[in-house]
Amino acid sequence: MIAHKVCMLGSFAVGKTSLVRRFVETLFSDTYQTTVGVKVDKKVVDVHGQPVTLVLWDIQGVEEAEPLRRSYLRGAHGYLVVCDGTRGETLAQCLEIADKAKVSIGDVPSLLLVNKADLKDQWEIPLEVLDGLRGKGWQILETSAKDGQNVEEAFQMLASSMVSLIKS
Amino acid sequence: MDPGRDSTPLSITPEEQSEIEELRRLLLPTERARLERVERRLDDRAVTADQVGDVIAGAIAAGGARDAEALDAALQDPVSRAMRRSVREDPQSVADALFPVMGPAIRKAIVETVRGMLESTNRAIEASLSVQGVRWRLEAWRSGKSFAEIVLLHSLVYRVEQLLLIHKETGLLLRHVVAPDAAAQDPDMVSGMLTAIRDFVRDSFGGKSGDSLDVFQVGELEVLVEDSPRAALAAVVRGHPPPELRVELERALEAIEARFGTALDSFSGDTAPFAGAKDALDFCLRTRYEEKHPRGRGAVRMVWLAAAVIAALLIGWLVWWRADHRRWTRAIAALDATPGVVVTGSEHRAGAVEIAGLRDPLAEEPIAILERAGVDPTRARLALEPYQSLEDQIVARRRNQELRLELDAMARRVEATPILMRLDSTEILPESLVWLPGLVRDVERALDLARGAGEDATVEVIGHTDLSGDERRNDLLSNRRADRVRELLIERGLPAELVSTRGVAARDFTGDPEAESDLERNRRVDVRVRIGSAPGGSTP
Repeated sequence: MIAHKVCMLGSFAVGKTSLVRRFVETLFSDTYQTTVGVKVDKKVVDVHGQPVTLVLWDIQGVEEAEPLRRSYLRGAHGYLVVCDGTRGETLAQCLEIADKAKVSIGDVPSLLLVNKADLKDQWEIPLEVLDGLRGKGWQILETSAKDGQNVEEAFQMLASSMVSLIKS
Repeated sequence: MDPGRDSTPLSITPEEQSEIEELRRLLLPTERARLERVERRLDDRAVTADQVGDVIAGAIAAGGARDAEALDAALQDPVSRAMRRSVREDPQSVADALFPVMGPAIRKAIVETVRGMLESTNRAIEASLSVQGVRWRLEAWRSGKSFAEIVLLHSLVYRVEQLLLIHKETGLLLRHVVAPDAAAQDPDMVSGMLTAIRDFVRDSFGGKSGDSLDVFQVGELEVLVEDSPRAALAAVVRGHPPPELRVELERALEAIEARFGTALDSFSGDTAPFAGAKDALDFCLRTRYEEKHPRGRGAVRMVWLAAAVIAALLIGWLVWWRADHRRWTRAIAALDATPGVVVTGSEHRAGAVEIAGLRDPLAEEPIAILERAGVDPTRARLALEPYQSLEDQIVARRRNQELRLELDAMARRVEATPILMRLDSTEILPESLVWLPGLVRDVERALDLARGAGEDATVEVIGHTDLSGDERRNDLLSNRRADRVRELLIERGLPAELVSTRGVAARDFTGDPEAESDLERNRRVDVRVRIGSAPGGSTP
């Protein structure tokens, strides 16, 4: 049985929680996030015919809980960093968070999710910027918590990269 | 390679061949000899087997180091074939070899099963007998749970319901064991959240870096968390765990650290290597029940006590009843054995004993017999019809009785025959002389009858006087009169030693002192046959 710890990172109110809510098994209420600063959910995906359990640590928007962050990141096998396409500043915050995460947990598989793809006409983030980041090695998916676009794919991609790391 | 040159050997003539051989012999003599030795060695099977035997162990060892998997694969088939054959051909020796392993395992499994069964049965029985048991039954009915479940919940001291072995760094679950029937949430998420909360608590309240949340209580549950450098073991316990449980968790975690240290270090998400930790965890998964139920036990004890008293009384009554029955049986047998009594039936009815049968009037009194046999004769209801027994003793008794009757009649007749004498004389009146032979005959007959009845009998001769003359003279006269009659009786054949005499003068005078006829009647001698004791008078 393969299990991985995956952190969900991102600024406040970018839709991380909504993103996972429809796609994961949940035991705990959303209030955990604001009280404890993290909420653990679970998603089982299939990688090459083998079930892989992703234990998702949905960590509260980092600005407000700076000192707690590190211990929650510890040991993560991968992370998803989420920004809000309609709020340009969240991308910059995402990149900052990703840098900090890299320092904390090393170079583990990660994905940048640009959320609210259903409101693409309102996006503040130019697609060229995302292409530039892709050129720097970022894996980027445009997602929508509202219509579910690319959500499954995001988990699937991250799981595959993490599993291939074990195999190698 | 050049294909043109390959064809050259085929064109060699036999002469050329022998020349080449010769050349070889001349140029390479030692090599040739060695080659021949090697060929011989390869051809000789015995030599080959010996040498292979020498090197095979080394070959396996070397192969194991170099290519373990290939060697395992190569050996797997022959080894398993050999084992199958061994089992088929000599199962006993295989069983013997396995015995030390199988025995304890089987024993353990049986003991565990039986103990589990006994525990739940005992508890259910114990509880069902008490007041508390009734309350629990109501609770079971209300909650829709089974009675056994309710009993278990209440008599539980603690029960380790779940154990989560957690990789400390990632918070990922390595192994999870859960007690049968215990409710458990998704352990992956619980493991993660537990780790997060412990981190949160440590970050928020922890002073030193080593501090951690190692126990918390939620309702009836208590969660104990034990840490080692790389793992954490969380035990979800229902009830109140004793301190020893923590020691056991510590030990289990130590064992896991020792055994899986490397796997914990290099853990990258694959939990398979930790499957072996199950045994250590299962050992901690235990249940302990309450030893005492003060209330329940008390009620149970009362019930037992009452049962014991009733049983004791019952046994006591049975013992008494049996003894009483046996005494009555003996008494009735004694009654039946009594001459002149026949028991035809007996029945115990409401404390009384009804005895039916026959009884000869000459037989011994039944009440006396029963009393002698040790039973209370007032409890006997006797229904004994009279009859004539032909038993020897009764026949003898009846005969004896007849003899006594005749003897009495004879004695009365003797008594009724006084011997009258003349005034102031020992001369017998003629009419009395007439009766004398008859009297003697009657006395003899009475003595005979007495002898026949087994009685002692004596003859007493008593002299009387009338009222004339003084007392002293009358005494003398009455004695002389008695002596006179004694002489006559002895003369006529009565044994002298049986006949005694005494004179009573006029002390026994009867009738009218003025009437001549009464005076005449008192000038007499009476003869009495005394049966039983010796006569009071003197024998000369």
